[in-house]
Amino acid sequence: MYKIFTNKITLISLGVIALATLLFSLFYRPTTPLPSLLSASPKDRSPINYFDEIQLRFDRVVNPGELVVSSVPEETWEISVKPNGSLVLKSKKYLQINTQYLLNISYQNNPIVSLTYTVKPQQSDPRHAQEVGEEIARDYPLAAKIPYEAPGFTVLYKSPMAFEITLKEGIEERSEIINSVRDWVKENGLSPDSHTYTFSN
Amino acid sequence: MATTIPYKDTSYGKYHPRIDQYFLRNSILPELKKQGSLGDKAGRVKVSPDGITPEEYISLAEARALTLDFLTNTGNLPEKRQRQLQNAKSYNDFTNLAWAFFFDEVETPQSAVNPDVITEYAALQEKPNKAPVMMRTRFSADDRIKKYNELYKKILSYQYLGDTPRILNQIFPQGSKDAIDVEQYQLAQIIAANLSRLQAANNSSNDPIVKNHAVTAEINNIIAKSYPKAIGFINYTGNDQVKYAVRRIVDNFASFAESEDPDTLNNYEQSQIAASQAIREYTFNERELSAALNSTLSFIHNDKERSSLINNLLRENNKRLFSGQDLKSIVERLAPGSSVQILEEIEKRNLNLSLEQLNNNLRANLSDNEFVARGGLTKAEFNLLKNKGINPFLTTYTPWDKRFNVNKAKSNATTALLSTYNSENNKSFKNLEEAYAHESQKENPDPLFLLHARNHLNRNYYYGTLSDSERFSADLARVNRNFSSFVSRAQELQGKVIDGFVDLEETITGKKWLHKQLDRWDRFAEKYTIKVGKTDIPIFRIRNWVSTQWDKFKKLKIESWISSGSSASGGLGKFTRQRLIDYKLGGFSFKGMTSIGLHRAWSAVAYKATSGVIKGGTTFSLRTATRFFLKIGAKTLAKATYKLSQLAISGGLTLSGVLSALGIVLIVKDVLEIGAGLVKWAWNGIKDLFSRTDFGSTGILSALAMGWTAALGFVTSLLFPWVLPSIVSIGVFIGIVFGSVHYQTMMNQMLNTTARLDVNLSLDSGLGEFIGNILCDSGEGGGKNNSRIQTAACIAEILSKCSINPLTASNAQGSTWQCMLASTLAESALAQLQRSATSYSVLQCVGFIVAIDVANGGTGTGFGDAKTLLSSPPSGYKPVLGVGSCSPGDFFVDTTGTWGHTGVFIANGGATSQVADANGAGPGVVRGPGSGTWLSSKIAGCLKKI
Repeated sequence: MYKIFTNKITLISLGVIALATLLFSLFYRPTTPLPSLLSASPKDRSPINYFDEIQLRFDRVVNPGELVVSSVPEETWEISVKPNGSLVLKSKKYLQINTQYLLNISYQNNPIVSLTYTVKPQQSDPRHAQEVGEEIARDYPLAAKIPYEAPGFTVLYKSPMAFEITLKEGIEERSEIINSVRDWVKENGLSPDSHTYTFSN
Repeated sequence: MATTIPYKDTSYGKYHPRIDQYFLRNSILPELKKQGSLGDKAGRVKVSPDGITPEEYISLAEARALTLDFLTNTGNLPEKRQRQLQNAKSYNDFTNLAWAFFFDEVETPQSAVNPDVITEYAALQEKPNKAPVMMRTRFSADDRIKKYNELYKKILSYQYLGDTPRILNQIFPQGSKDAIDVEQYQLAQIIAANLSRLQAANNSSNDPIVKNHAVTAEINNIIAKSYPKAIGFINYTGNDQVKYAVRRIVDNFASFAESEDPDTLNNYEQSQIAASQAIREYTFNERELSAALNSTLSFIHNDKERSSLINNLLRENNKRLFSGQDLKSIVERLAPGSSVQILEEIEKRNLNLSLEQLNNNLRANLSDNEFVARGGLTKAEFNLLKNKGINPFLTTYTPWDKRFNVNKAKSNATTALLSTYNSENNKSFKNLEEAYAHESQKENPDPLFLLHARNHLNRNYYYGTLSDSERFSADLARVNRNFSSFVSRAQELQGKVIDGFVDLEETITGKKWLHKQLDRWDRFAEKYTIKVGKTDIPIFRIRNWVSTQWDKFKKLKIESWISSGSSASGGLGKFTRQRLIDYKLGGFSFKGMTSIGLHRAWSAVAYKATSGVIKGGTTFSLRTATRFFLKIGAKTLAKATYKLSQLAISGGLTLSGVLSALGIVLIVKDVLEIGAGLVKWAWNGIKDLFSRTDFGSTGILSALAMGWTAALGFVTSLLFPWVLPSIVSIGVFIGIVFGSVHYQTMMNQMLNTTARLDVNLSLDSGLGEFIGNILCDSGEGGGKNNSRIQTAACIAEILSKCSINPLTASNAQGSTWQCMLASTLAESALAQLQRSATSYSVLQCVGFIVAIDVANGGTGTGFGDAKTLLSSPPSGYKPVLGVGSCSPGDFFVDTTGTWGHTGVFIANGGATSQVADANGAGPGVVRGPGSGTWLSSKIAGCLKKI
């Protein structure tokens, strides 16, 4: 018995086996079953509102970082986790109304479920309204206060971040008026340099 | 450190382009405060007002700018304060100032400390303090109603109606200590508690249909039993003949108020007390409730601890009149370790309702007219109740009703009652409890004995729960009351003695004889006549005789003129005949005639208002009534009616139903009293107007001035042709002056409260603020005098007041929608808003303009999707192309995007336009004038009203 463990070939063989075992243990990953969807709210194939979130419950804790959501038509989906462990999908923009969406959800690059939703009709276009709102907020931050009527002049938006000042008859103090408008912009919490100022007359 | 992003890119900012009060209070200001105290170095402010949205950060500078913007524009911050904020040297200074200004300018004005309240409070403080001891003033129903209404109005002006102690502290900051009219304090307690219960009741069920049904049924019961004079109210709460019923109620109120009959009120309040006492017979009294609690709380093994807890619970229950605490907080305070189990057990056996009923009963007794008329609580009794929670009606106060034959708690009458019972029934019970138990088990017990015995037992038990020192205080209070009663009786006796003395004095001094002689002369003068032809003329009463003859002649003539003019068909003939009839109905006097004429005019206006309001109202009868009352000026009544519509009762014949019914007795009493007071106010205002000397004289002077100047002008013109124009000018001037005074008086007194018929009721009177949550203050519509802009502003305002902006399908129905139903928005507009929100999950932009259209007399038909509005305009509108063609109040149309957008055009701001819309800034969000904007380049055109 002793001889076996002192035999050179045996020892080399054991060393090779140990090394192989070590390497195998380092690189081998047993396959794990994919998470399966327990419920979706709203339910699959049901009508949804353009602003609805979709809540998914899986049979196990799912790492949102490994979840990929794609849709047809294409949207950017934000994924968050609720305290109860369920995942919430929300489109970054309002969904297109009167449109059927096919959502493909993959986990670790393996497709796990597909869901279909139809967005309920509306009498207007919320997505368009959203884009208009974003544009106004970005390019015309003081739109709610425009037209700005002052005793000697009126201020309108001419283009993004550009005011057009119309002087009333007999008013000529242009530099004072620009300063006055700049003060007004400052009073409204914005840097006076954020806008340009031109006169229409 | 996390990076900061612009506010508009935050999750909250996306849906709320402009920050609101909630956001400022819950997110920005607390965060700024935190950052400020760190020495301005943290450099970012967390944005998560709801605690749900993810943590995002905006820069300190932007937070500061947003705060300044909100306070300046929404809070209407005065310039001086704006400068202070702008010049704040550090974030810490800025935050401290911003907090202070926020509470001063934004939060507080909407809650309590507005100028009116301060003025009223100052006026209250200036009044001499009335010692709260034995007020032996003569009872006056009018004063009572006045006081009640004043308090009611004051309480309604507070936003936090559910918080009784807070309301009371606001009204009486000094508490009850030495400076308060006890009666007023008690009244305030009652009113505040009623309002609190209303709010609590509103949450008792989720099913609005069940709630409405139960409320209606119970109100009908209560009114039928306790206020027969308002029986018409029952019709009004049902579905039939709403129009007729509402008129009946108003008539009832008016006649009730006009009669100014204190007995009516007295009787009503008596019936309320009787109802309360009747209910009491079927519920636990203090002794029985203690026994029930004792068995219910048997899991508390220590007898002493349990007994002490029950005793304290009953005391605290009484003190709720002052503290306003609910049962839960009382139990949590008394037994913090086992409060959950105690509450569960109490509620399982409905003992919480018994506690509520005892509290109601105490409240009802305190507010009883006769009790108040007899002086109310003495100071000692008041202190016992307020400080120790001891019910004075069981310890010191001697009931005026001698049926109970109980004059004090430890009465020998108990022994007498027992011995009487023993001898009549041939029994030998040693104590009353055994006798009571024996009699209760009989098939036909003696109800009178049971009643007496039950009261004896309760009072004796109650007295037994007092500690030695409390008994001493109670005994002292009783002595004090008896002594005061003695003083009072002595004063009455004194009065009689003085009357007797006056009689004696008049006899001795001969005044009595003189009066007799004068009476005799009067009789003689009537009889001593001289005959002239066929007529007897009393020679010593010639003036009276002439006056009488003139009256007779006048009446005969008027009657004959009226009769002869009956066939008049021309306008002037009819007018003259109607004036003659008015003259007759008005007691054959000019003053009476004008009074009757105005009465008729008032009725016509009221009829018009009614027919305008009630035309479609059947199912929403409460709302209709609210609106009707608003139109006739009974605004506080409207508020109360609205509150009634919010009331919920668990229903049926359960104990809770009975108790809720008692609550409604008190509520209905409030409504009736306030309604009566206000209708009386309106009625008297009109009567006063036409009975005022300056009214008649104004009219006459006006006519005289015109006539005189015309006559003078005519004569002068014959002499000097150039004078006439000058004289006429002067005459016209005088006429205008007098006429405008006259007109203005009429407007102020009558038309201001009746003129608005269907939409956008805007109240600028002081009373309006008391019903602020259902009225629209946006009369100016953002400065544009256009009815569609005004309506848009009103919709946005009322939705916000009802806390349902954004308007979604879920809040467009059920209890949340009740607030809207009680508002002054046109019923047709409300229906459109509701239809749109429920059909499309959220309010649509098209639904918003349809609501505006119908509120302004349109048909609301032909409105398709937003994009199609220009190509297929709705009926009553014509399309115009280009934003330059749009005028304020038009409906703008954006045809870009897949489905377009629409709203109300307000002003052209160049590249952007000001608008009011729905669904443009988030799902169902309504933006009123001043907050909505749209890109002008996207506006394809507008719809103009034809």
